[in-house]
Amino acid sequence: MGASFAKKRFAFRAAVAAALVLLIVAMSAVCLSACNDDDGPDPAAERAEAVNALRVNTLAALDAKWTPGLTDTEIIGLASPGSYIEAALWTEMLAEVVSASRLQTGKIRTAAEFIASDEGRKLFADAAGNLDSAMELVDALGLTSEDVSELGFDLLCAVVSETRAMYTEVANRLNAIKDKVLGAGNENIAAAAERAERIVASFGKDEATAAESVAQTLKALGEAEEGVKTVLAFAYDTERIFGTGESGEGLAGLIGSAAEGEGALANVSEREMFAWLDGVLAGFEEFGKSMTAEKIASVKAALASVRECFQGFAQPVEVVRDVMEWLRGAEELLGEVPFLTGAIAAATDVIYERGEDEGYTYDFVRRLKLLAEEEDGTLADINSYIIAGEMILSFADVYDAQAVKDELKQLAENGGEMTTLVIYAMALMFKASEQEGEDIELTDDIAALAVALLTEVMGSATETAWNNYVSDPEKYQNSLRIFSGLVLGFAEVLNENIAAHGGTRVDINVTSDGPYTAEWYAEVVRIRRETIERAGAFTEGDALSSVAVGIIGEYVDKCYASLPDIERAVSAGWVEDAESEEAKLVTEMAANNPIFMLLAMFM
Amino acid sequence: MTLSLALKSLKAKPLRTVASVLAVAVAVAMFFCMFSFESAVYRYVFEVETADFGDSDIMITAKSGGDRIALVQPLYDVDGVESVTPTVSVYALTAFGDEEDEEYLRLRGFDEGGIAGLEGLEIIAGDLELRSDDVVISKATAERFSLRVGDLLPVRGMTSGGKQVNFYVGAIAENRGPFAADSPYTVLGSASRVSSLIITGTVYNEIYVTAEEGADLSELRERIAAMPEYASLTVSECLDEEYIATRARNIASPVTIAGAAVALLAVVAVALVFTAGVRDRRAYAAKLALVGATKKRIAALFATESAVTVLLGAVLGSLLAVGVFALMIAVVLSSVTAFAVDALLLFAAAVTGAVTAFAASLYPLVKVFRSTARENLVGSVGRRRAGVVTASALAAVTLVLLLVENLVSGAKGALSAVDLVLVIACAAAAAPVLVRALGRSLSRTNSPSLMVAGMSAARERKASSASQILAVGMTVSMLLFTAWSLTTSVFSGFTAEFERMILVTNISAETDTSDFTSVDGVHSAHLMVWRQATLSADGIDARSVNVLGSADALGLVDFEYLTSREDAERALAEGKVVLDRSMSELYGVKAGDTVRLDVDGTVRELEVGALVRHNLFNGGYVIVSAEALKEAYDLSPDTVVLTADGDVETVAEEVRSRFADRNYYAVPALAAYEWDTKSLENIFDLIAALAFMLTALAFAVALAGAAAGRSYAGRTRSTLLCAGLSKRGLLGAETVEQTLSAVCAFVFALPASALAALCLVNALSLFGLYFGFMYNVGAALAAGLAVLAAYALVPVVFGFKRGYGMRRE
Repeated sequence: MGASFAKKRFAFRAAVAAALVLLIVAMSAVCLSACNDDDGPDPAAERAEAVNALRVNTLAALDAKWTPGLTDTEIIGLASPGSYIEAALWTEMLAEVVSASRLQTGKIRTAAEFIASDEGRKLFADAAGNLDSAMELVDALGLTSEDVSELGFDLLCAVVSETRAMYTEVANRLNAIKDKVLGAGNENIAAAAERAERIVASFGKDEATAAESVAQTLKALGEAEEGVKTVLAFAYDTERIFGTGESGEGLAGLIGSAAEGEGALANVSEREMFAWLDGVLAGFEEFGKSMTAEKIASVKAALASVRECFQGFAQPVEVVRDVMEWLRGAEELLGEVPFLTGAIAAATDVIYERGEDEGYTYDFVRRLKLLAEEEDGTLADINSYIIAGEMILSFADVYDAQAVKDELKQLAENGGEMTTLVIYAMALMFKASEQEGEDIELTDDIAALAVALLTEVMGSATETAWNNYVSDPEKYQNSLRIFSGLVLGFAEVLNENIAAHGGTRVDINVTSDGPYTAEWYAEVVRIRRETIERAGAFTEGDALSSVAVGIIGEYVDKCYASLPDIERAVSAGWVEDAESEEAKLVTEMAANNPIFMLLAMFM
Repeated sequence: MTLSLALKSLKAKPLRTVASVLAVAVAVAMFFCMFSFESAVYRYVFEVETADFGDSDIMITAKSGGDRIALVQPLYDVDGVESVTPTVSVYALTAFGDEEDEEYLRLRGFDEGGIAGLEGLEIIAGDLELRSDDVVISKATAERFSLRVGDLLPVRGMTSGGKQVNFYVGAIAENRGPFAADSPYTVLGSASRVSSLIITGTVYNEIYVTAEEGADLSELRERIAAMPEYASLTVSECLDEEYIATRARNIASPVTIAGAAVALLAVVAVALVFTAGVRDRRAYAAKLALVGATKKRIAALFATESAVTVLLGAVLGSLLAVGVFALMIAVVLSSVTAFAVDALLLFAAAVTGAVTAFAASLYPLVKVFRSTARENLVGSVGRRRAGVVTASALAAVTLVLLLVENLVSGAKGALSAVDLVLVIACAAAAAPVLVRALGRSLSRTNSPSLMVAGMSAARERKASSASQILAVGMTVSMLLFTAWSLTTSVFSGFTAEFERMILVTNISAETDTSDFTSVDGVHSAHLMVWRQATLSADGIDARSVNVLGSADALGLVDFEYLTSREDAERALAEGKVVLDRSMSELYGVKAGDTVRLDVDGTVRELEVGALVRHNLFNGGYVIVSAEALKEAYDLSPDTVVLTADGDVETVAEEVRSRFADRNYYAVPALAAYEWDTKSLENIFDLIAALAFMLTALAFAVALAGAAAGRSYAGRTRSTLLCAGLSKRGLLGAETVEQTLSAVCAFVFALPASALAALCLVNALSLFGLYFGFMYNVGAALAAGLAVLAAYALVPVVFGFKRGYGMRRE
């Protein structure tokens, strides 16, 4: 009995002890977790807060009265309800992309704070207007090329997938609140709703086709993600290296530091500048290597898909339109990346000149520094010609004339509208320079080239006018009529030439008087393309591009033929007297070779 | 049977057993700390010094008057190069908004994957999936600026635009590996982003090269240095073993000597604890013999008891050793050194402690076998003449050796270490003699308490043993307190000179010093070479020194001139070097001798022109003119040393502000040597901690001995009470006896500690260190008197009186 009682008492005590131990352990755990300094606020909540701040501040930067989530009544009370809804949806999309990105929460917070500042508000408002201002904003926000490439890609995907739905929603919401207002307010909202409907209509596709196009584009972008990001990062880095002139920034800054004796690299030596340039050139080389043929093909396909997806679409946000334009240029130039990076390496190989001791001479870099310090404009020009000449010679060591012509031909054949425009312009410029002081012999080829160039230029102007028209028909109807009239007029001229050579005329079934619908605009674009294409068919190479390449090719041959003269002219190395014989020789060479001028412009 | 009896015996005397086990444990712990400390310090210095380059072999860095950006590509084609790690290193200021809170950061940029490959990097928050503007910071940096993962770290580049570049905390790491030398705070990021503080694009200014296995580093370094691309850069071997060894030695030697003293005390403590109970052991042996136990049986029983005790002590000591060592590391070396227990050293410490203790424990057995059963049972009071003879002989030998050590040239060093031990032994041997002598005197007084105390001191071993322990303990603790005071005062003198200096680096060799003197608060500006080098000569092993490369250096601090300042100036003008007097004291170097100076692998012979005296860098400096350095090594000035009036931090800020566009790195000299000073302060703290620990240990051992001895005297106390001695009188007697032991120990410990300090200073020459003799009587007195007072008051404080009673035992 006693033993049993003792056992029970022991069991009871053991149970109490166990419960106490458990209680202490649990309390300790609670205390430890409560007192743990490392935990801090929830990172997800912090990120959500930062993203929300970004959203609020970006919207407020466009209009101080705008905040996300206004009620219909509040929206009606605004001066521009349509703009508010549109901006709110864009900032919401931006916030979603930023939130899902790998951007650090601290950076989002910093960006939000910056945009709330006076400087930030101004920069953000300007950034919506054009790409240059957007780049300034990116720089001010301290975004890296990694950020730019990732955010750029994500935003591109978001724009592809959301734009149509976004403007449909703008239209729907405006229509929904329209009837709640009377008088002028009603008219304003109705006008904004119509604008949104026109923007949606400018897609020129039904909903199902548009959805399919979006899906295909997103798929293509997904497949080319790495390549697209590489291109974006490279473009941003290159812009930063060559595009800024402040002291301490990029090439201009480095040379400026050398000249001014200030900054971290004050009195930069030739060897130091050489080391920096070597790093920059290594970046080009690395980019060239990373852009394999497969990657280039996939990126081109993706960008082509984006272009097709937005064909005819009147993008209302100018900076997005600029980006799309830039992507179109990138798409056309991507195929030339291997050649361009190789050409840069060949032309800049001159900096790697070695002396008798097998060490680098740094002579070229020394002269670059001298050039930066040269105050006499004439001497600066002459010496920049010498430097350009050395680069041409260095380039010519690697690429002969045929290689250059082959590349040009390939570019002309595979390039898009922008490339074509540049090639035509160059061809005409070289032709003009060849016959300086004389009337240009207006052969059929030249005439076709000139008209095609004008048609392309007017086509580009018509595109801008169309975009503007969709946003504000009243204001831009005349410019649309004028530019589309010019395009159709040039098309008529080309049609005459086509007919004169026995070709089939392009069917011109629209006029510059409209009606200005997406279908009308698509027809204008078709007419422009087909007339230029058919006009080329009667030329020697069955394509205008062949004519252009032929003209440029002739110039390239001449340029290569004059290499010994260039060599003789640049042998002076550096000219200190603008009246000297060496100076005259250089000036003469430059006058005979416009390519000097082109290269010297980069100096 | 034997084991059972042994355990029963140990259980019967729990206090003695516990004291014995603890003494062994402390001895083992101390042995382990002594064995391990030097290597831990070496590891620490090694880690700090290799923080930047990890296991790389050769580094290419900017050279004053040379290039600031380096080419990387040519290195990949060099035979013998296994890998190349290009980095960019930039000094910048934090830009949190408040200019007053601006603080220097050293940003190091790596190519992709470079940070993950850094040796010793231990991430504690975040990860290494870093974005290009993410950085890894140390825990210390995170705490200093209250940063967490994801937070903004704004930095202002020191370029003409004063451009702000934002970084974000991607990860936080322990203060070790690349963060071991975290002064100024180190920040690791991508090369491109860090470069953007200077220019857009990626540049490199520190390249680390790892050689192929078996490559001749010196030859490889020379080959790279000879390449035209690196002619204007400094190419040097990363690992300057001599420098690391010198620094480790400088830090570890005082502690090693202190550790030796601790170990000595621990051994003495073990022996004394065991011998304290010898009378009881003898009585126990006699009883065993009476019941028929053979000598062999008794020996086996005693040996088993000792074995169990030392085994327990060794196990406990091993556990204690880890804790004590970890504590030492944490206190002295912060968390920089990864703490690892060397099992072999721990085993060696356990064996040393156990064997020493076991040997000491056999002393009672020897005594048992050398005495009759009756003598063992009732005890014997032998003549104490042997103690007097031993003490006198020891004192004589010590005196002779001390004279030899200090008067015979070249005798210092090892002999000093021997003398150090002998001086302590003398104190330990002499204290009991005095105790007994004074005890006899007291026994003749009329006061019952004094008479009882005197008789006990004269006849019992308790007071003698306690005085022995206290003599050793007091001497060692006084020595340690003195050493602490000495090193701290030397260090304070050294840092006092630095307090008004500002070092400006990252300068051009053509910098105009008048620019600096125009800044408010700058008293003078000296353009000079300020760097490390290795000095050697016939009879001098290579040792690391600081080169003060300008004749102006003589005006930097108040040097003491052995001849005249003019002589020193003339010597410098003639291209000769000026050395510290310690070189003469340690190695016999004199004016006219030739020394070899190795700067970045280039060795030149230079003539010694004059000797001066100053505690700067513990005497490890070489003054040489800038012209001589230029001619011999093609070295240009790399530092402007400013002397400032008023608050140096404010003046440094003014300099930074005035020259914000020149990327100068201007910091007070003490801040530049922050980790060095911090480490040395920590070392001094350790010595102080050891001094306190030892004092406490000596006190505890003496107390344990007294308590053990006292328990045997229980019958005596009852007898004295029965004989009419009041409880108060008995307490007085015990207090007097305790005081007597402590006073006698103190009397010998005080002069012994002075002599030991002299020996210690001389012994440091073994480590290439030279100090003038200094003895801080105040510190020694304070330490000794504190122990004396504490020991004397034990009977009162521990309430001995409450235990007094007349009972049969």
